[in-house]
Amino acid sequence: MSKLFVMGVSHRTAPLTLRESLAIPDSELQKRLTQASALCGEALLLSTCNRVELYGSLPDESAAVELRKVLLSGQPEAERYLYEKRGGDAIGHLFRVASSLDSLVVGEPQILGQLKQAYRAAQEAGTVGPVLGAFLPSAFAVAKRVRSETAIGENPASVASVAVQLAHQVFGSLHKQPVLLVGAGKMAELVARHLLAAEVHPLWIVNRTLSRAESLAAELGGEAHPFERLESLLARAAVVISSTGAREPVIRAELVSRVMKARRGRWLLLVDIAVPRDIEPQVGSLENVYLYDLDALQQVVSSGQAERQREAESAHRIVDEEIGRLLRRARSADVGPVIRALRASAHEVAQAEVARILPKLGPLGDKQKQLIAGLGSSIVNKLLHSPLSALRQQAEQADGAERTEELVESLVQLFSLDKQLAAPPEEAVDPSPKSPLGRGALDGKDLENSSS
Amino acid sequence: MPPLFPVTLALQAVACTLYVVAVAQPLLRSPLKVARLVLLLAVLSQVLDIGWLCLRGLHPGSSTREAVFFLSWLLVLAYPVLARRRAAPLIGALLLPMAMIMEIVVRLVPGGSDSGHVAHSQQLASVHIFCATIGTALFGLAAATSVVYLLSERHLKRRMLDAAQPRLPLQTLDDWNHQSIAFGLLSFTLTMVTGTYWLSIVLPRPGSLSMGAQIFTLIRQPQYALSFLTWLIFAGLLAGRRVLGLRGRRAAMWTLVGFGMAVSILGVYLLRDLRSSVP
Repeated sequence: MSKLFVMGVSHRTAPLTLRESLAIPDSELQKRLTQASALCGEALLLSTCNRVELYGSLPDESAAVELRKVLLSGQPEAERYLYEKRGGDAIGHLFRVASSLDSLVVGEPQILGQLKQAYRAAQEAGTVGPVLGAFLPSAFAVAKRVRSETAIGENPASVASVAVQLAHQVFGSLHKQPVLLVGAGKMAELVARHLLAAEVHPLWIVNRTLSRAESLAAELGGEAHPFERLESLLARAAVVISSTGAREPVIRAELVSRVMKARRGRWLLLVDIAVPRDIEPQVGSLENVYLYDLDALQQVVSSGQAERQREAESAHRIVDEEIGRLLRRARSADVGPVIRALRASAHEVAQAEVARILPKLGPLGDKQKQLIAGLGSSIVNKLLHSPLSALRQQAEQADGAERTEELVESLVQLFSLDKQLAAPPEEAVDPSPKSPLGRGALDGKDLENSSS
Repeated sequence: MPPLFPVTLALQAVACTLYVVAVAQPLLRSPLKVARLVLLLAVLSQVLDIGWLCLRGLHPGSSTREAVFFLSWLLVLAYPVLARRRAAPLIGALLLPMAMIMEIVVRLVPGGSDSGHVAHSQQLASVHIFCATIGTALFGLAAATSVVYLLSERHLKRRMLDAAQPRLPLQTLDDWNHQSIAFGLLSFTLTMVTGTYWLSIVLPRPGSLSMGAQIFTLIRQPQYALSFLTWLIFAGLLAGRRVLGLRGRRAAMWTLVGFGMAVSILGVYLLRDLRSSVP
């Protein structure tokens, strides 16, 4: 049986206020990890604004009750929002979370980083064991595959990310590209934060009320300038984000035309997120000037979201495929001990027969003895080759779990393999270095329901 | 015909098709990988052909035909060099047909010799043709990046931001365009200098013809006028960028005009060879 287990609340099950109250502060993380791992052997805590989840090794019922207390930090009323998944369902859930298919904004890239960070924290706390150590790297690999084979993360999901993407399409790297914020509104601040993450520098802020520009500049690490410097800053900035509350346009075509002469044709990206608009629409027709207003940005966001949903379908297929692959690998690992036991049993019989017959053949040289011993092994191998190959193929088939199980049971009964299979793990179980998942981490049977 | 010519052409066609697929399906990585491999095989195959031709005295400086064949090889080689850091399948999809057309045309035209009739200036003529070839190849590269620039710029102006098909940034394309033109012009200037010197050797002495008659003789030959115009356009582009900030869309358009002129020079030479081969 797969031993992965998850319990938690997410944006799908719990309101924001509850999620906020359950969020685990960094200072408490290690303590909670230790408490949880004491109950179930292994623990990983994922705490983001959209989910608070505990991953671990499957606990018994009494431990599960205690784990709920650890996760819900003494808020029993939150229990009705709690979900618990185990085995294949837990694996499927983990893969979907890592691939950002369970995110509020499908395809957002932060969740994978947050999950990796949670994994690192658990490793540092010493609460990662064979189960988490097997499934988390697999989840990261699945998420990577989803990112590289679909465009799920490509389409920007917000006005701010569209602005950053536009800047990338004009300038390539935004490293050390100067950005000008006209107005100091919340929306401009949000866009500026996205741009700062792309290493733009410097960030100039002009505002009619200089003190407001100064306080925002202090918060973002930018420079505040009086509104009168707008033209000279426009001549130097690469990206301009405008969001003033003015009733009339503050950036007119005539001004930009003048500025473009001073810029000697260098590209200028203007993002107008003000309503009513701050920038005259005619500005967009000037050469090497790219103007995007809120409508245009929203249009990109909407088409991006629709595109993300389409890509999410492909991503779900990839996740299901990976779960299926895991399932087949698990079943192959399941038949391994039976195959080895059968071969060992058959070889044992052959060697016993050879040992019985050799004295009756009279004086023989070493070569003849070796040939007779080899003959026994060869006959066993040839006899077993076809049925064992068929068994392996059956185990690797996507829907072959039931049939494989029947075949394994038949083999165990027909050849009385119970004794060999009951041998200690180092004799009966192949550690199978090719498989990234240890035998303790999963079992084929319980993965069946996870790929839906 | 060089022995590997059909192989080269087939490889280039396959690579070109794969680049078109890569443009249409940007998320698929395999067409780009395979295309790169096929393209390198095409480059290798063509360089073997060029070597084979050189062994027979038909080196790139020996005639317009071989120069254009070499030029097509440079164009094919230019893509993997240009795209070593950043995949730009659209540029590959533009350069390859350009190169393939050149190769087919030159193989249809009978080989003439530009320098055979002036034995004493053979080396000078070879240098002249070689520089012209390099220059034209670089202008071809600039033209390809210009086409991609114009397409990307059109998309941005029309607010057609398609994140699933990430385009090369405008600034990168413009930088590639500028660098190709700068090096291309250097080579083309050498072409002009060697060409002028060569003309001073082969044209009649001033005593036999007046200066006006000499200039008239030159102007009557379109390849000289076109060469001068090509040089003027690309020199103007570089000067315009430095002095007036001429870049972006207008620079891309002028690059295409300049490359059109450069190709027409080759066309004039090839037509001359064709006419001279007709009895």
